[in-house]
Amino acid sequence: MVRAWSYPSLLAGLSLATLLAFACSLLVGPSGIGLGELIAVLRSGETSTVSLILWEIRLPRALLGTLIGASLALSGASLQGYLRNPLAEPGIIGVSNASALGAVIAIYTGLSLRYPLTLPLFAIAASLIAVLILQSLAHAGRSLTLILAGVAISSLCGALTSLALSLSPNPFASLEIVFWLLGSITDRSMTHLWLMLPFTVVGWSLLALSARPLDALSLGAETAISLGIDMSRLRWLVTLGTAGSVGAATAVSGVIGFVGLVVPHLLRPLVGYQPSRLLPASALGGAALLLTADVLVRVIATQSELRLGVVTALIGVPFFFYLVTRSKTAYIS
Amino acid sequence: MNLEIEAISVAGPTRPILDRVSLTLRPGELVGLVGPNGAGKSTLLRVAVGVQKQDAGRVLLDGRPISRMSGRQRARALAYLPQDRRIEWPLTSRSVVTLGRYPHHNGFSPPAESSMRAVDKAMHAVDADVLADRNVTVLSGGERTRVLLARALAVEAPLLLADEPVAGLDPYHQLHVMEILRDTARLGTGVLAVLHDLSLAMRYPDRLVLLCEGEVIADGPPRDVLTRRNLEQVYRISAVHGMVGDLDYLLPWSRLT
Repeated sequence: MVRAWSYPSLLAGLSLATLLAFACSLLVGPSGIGLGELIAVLRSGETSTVSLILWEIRLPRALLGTLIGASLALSGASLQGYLRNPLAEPGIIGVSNASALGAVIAIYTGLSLRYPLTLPLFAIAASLIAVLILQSLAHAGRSLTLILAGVAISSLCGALTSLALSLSPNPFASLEIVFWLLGSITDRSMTHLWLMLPFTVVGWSLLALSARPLDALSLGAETAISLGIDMSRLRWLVTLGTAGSVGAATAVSGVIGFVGLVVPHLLRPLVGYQPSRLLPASALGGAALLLTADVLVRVIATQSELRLGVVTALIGVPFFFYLVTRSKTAYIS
Repeated sequence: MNLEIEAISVAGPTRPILDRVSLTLRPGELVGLVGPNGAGKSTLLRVAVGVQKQDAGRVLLDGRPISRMSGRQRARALAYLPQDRRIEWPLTSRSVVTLGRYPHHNGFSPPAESSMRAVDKAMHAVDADVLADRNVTVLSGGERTRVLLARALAVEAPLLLADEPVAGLDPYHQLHVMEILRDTARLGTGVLAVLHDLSLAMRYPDRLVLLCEGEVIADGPPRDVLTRRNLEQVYRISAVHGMVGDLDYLLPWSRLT
């Protein structure tokens, strides 16, 4: 409850954390690259194994981690503000599951083997379709109908994904689907980055435009409308922004839960509960958290690399429980 | 600025919620909107501020239909205190009041100096200066209502519509809020307030509009509206009526069976 930090210093601190996590992401991996080596490679500009690892493997991974973490937490913060519910997260409006279904269809039909780009493209297309269905189902101005429609879309997509799994003709395809669904940003390339970037940028811009109206919405929809807010425009901003940014993120990384729920939740008291201030803080916090989790995935030694979605949930959920039990009154107003 | 509500109708499931209701609100007057539960008072306010759509009729601001105004233009002209007193996040009182400045500034620029002054002035008007840094979750009902009223005043709109501003308040705070509304009107704002307490309705407003089953039954000075006949027919009650000095007072007394 206590605001020990001013808003600019909070943003500065979060930026620093993100930068540190980004640097760690470049430095940590199976083939250890030291800080000295890194700087030498950056200076010389020659092509070597080290530079290849850095430019082709580590950098795309770090950049994707930043974008995806920021997208998940930013849209989580925006949705929590819009639905005025701290339990909301990008999955609640069905975007994540729809996006996953799109990707699974690409894997199932074998298209992703022949044309790798069909996977992210299908995923993004599916998330946009989900938002169009959502908008047509949900009643304007009522947040409950949005949640109901979102949960319905989410369950339907989950069921179709299971169907694809059980009907899958060969075990390799189902294994690939399962692994993809667990969420990871290993072995992605710059192509993935360029592919998701336009959707991410558009999504972020829409979510940024939702910031101030969300402040006014803290006094309820009626007051917000009387302050000149167009509720149906706001809904489009939030849902399309989420579909664009989270759809693109899921398309590249698979489903990574939890970041969108917990990051805004943790940072909310630190920004004085103001929805508009929560958005930039959450974006930074999400990036830092996902990059850190992705570094942990590499550090924790297991036979095959741990999945990112698994790690975010395994570490995050107990921490979340701890926070909720510690301050029952502070979080639930 | 004049608010003219012209022949507003809103359909309901069985009977009309509002049936060709007309009402005018002029600068500097405090008008009380009274009537039994379900008379359509809140609906009328919601239509007037553009929160709800009417089925027929129109709302004019200085002769201009609000349906043709942008959300922001409308918001600057009409401040609205809804019945719903929820505040979703544990914000400070001051940040709640600052939301009233929303229609006045653009984009991401921080609120201007004039806005900060308007916020201070509004908080001062409701006697909430000391509450500024207090979290709204720890406020009492009376404090919360005053903070939300300050939020509406901070808009600095020429017209203020308040839905049951004294509901749930103790007598001290009821009198306080009524005085704030009267003072606001004296400074030139047109104030329309939904009131359930007939004693307050008799004393404070310059004019009363009595609504029953979606129709205007009477419109005029309180003593001409809260007549014995109207109280019997519309409210189905009898009341004690008397004078304190040269002021009328009214006390609802018994139900008519």
